[in-house]
Amino acid sequence: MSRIALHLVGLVGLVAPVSGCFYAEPINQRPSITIEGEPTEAVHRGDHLELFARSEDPDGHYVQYQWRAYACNEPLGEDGCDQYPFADGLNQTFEIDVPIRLSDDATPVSLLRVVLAAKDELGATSRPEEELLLPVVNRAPTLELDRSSRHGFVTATPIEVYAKIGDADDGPAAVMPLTWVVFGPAGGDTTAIVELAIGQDPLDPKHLQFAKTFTPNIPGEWTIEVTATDPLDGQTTASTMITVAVDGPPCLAQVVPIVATGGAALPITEPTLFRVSVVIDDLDLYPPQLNDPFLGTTRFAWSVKAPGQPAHLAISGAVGNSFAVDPASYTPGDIIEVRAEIFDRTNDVLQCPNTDPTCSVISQPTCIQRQTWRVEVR
Amino acid sequence: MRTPRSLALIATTIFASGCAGDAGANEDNPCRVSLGFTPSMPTSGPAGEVTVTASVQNAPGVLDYNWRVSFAGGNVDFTNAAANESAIRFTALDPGVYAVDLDVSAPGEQCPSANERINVLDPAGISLDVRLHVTAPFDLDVPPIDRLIRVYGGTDYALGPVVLDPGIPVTGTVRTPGNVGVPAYITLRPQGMAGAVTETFSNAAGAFDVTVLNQPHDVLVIPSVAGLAPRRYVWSPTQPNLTIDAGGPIVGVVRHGASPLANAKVQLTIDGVPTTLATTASDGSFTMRGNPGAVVSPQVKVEVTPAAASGLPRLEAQAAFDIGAQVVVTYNSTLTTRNIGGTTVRRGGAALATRKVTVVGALASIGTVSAGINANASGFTRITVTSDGGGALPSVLAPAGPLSAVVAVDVTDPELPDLAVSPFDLSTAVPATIDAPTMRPFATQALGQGLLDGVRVDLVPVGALALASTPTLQLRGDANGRVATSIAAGGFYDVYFSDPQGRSGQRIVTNVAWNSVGLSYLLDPAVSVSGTLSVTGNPNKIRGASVQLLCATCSGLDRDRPIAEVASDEAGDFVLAVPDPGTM
Repeated sequence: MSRIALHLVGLVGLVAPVSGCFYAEPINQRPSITIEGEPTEAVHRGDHLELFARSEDPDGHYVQYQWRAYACNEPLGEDGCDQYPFADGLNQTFEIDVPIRLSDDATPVSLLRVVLAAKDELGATSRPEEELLLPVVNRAPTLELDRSSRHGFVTATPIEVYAKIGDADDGPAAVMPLTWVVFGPAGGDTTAIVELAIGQDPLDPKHLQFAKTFTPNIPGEWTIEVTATDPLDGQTTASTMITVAVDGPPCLAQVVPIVATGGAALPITEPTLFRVSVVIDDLDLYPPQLNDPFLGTTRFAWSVKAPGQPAHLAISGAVGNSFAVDPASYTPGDIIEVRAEIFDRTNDVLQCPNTDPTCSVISQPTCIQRQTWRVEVR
Repeated sequence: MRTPRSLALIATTIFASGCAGDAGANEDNPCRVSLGFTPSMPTSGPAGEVTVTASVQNAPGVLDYNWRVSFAGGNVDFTNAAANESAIRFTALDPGVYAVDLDVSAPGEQCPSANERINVLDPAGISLDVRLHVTAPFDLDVPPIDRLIRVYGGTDYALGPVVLDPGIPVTGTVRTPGNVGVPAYITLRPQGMAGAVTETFSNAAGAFDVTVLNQPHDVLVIPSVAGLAPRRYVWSPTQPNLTIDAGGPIVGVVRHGASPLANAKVQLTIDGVPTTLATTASDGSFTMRGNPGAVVSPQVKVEVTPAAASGLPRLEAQAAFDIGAQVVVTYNSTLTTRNIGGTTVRRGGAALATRKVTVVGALASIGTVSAGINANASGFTRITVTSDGGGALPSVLAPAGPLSAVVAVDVTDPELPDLAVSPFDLSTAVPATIDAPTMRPFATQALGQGLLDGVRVDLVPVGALALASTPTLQLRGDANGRVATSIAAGGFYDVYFSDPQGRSGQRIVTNVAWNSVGLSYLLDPAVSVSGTLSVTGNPNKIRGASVQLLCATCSGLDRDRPIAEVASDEAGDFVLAVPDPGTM
């Protein structure tokens, strides 16, 4: 019997009594449902999703929902889904966190299957169940770089380069060993980078930090490129540019006593300690910081021009940061000149004439390597 | 000397400074948290109880207090000392710096954290006063500080914030009574902090600019022009102009026995203020000008430098002379001179040609000074000559006495001069030769609690070498704290050991003879003095300031030689090591 014929028989059966004295309820119809809120962007493992059930019941009945979400292995389609859902719900809104792995705790989730069923208050269920298949993609690791130098980023001194990695789906520990590549100026040694052990921040378990010590052999623009790869071949590359300079000259920062200018002379009436209190330099500063093997200390040289001398005479053995002058060594009224000169490890020669009271190898009045006191013996 | 009360003042200052600059959620009345503690000078031991109390302002409601006390890297147990947990009590078993940190949770308010560093002293500790001298970088242009601090045996000491006063810029003038500008050298010492000297020069018009503390200063002006006498003032920045005059006359005479001594330079220093420089006339008389100041019976130092040709030594005497009376300087008539010409300088029998030779010697009781009172005068001689091509000294007079000759054999090496010290006794006759012995090895080792790699050793010449103006030799130790060099045979040194890394305190061994250097010297343990530098009203910390610990009781050059020195770091922090004064 055809389907049309059956309907006709049914209609006859129903119409006949009604036309007599019987009343029958209208036939309850099934609700129809749809899933809304499908993400517009790629879904990653670990993402938080919020889906919404939209229903329409022809009879205006209250509709009850039932959500189920399955983690799946995408190449196998629905056959690759877990047997049991990882999440379910009965509300109109369904919030889930995309799992990282299937229930075998090994296979990465690559597909998400969300099923929505519904029934009205009379028990009519929607047919068919609404199903949403969402491809789940791997999230690449995160990577941040930083660098620091305690030596002013000068050649032949170590520069620490730090990489902070994270991986929202696999965790930072799953990231493969980082690859570090150095790009340098012509003649630069791009292999001068070695492991540097650093501790981890216990308050930040979502990240791990790694470090290398890079020691540039020449000045110029250097780039350190770091690549992080996760187990699913997700890759992130970041780079940091480092401008490496040559070791700058030392600068006299503080001297005692005051230096007379404009032809004046500092009168001394008692033994006086001429001192260089502070020298600023990338590497050879004073006072020294000797707990750093790359740092040294300033070298000092002192000279004196006594009355009748044509030029300053170096004082052999005066290599400290101070030099004592006893006015009793001279005749009262004498004018002498006491001179301090400083050098770092590059030992730049001060090219200024001996008659210049100050000297700067870089022609910067704010960074001088020579200072001369004009002193009157009293 | 800073008293315990003064230290309590420091604690109070830290208390107050902990409040400053803490911003809260309410910009008008931000939450403020500060800490105070009692006793103000806690001591260690089982009874060493410290109570820390929090003061929270502008945070209504029931507050939660989250305390933490730590010492030497570990946590310290504490108990509540207030029902609402706003105070705690802990026992400081060991001396040192205890860190107390507090976080306060308040409803609707963001309260800043508070922390305090509490110095707990060893009750048996011996105290040592030192001067903390801080000079800010030049571009900051703030006055230096020079404060006494007390260091206690066995106890590291955290000064906390060390705040420099920005001072005030002052423009002043130095002028004569006739309103003529005077170029001069000016030192300004804040009253009560004499070591915090600010120096400046006035220009040809007498004008000077300086930044000083806004308080009275003792100011010394030394004019650069003849005819005006140096003078000391009590000076205030509010009245910055200075008037300087010729001062009063001071007259006297210099004689050798009964004979007048011409062409001698004479200068007096009256209570630290020098007079003008006078030169004796042919009759030995002199007139100088000076400002005696207001001090009654001041100490007067008389210095006479005879003309070089006389061969007489330089004479010094110090006493409460009456400078209103004639100052009579008399060299003993028995003091004679000898001509050292012809004496040959040699080493190993070979003549030393064209070498600089400094004949030196200290001579006691070479004369008297009389001005109201009589005083004996001492003296010293320093005569520099150069040997000729045959090693012979030129014809020069020198005092007849037990002198020494310092021979500069080879000073071409900038690092290490080849010097020799040889007796040169002219008491009875002039020796025919000066034998310059070869340099002798100097080797020793500085020992501390461990190996003192990088230790610094300064050899400060004393005796004949010092009189000959020989510079200090500065040596750096190897990985084992050993130093080695060569020193002048016959020389004596004060040896300063210091550890730039602060593991041990400075040790000074005085008057070490060239042939009695110890194989090793043990340096005292160190205690640290730490702090953070800033300037009042400036949120930035002071980087690159010179921070020194100096001797509080020394005089002369030793007053300026640091016990320890560092430059403050990027955060304005500094840590200095000072010898542990020890415990009783």
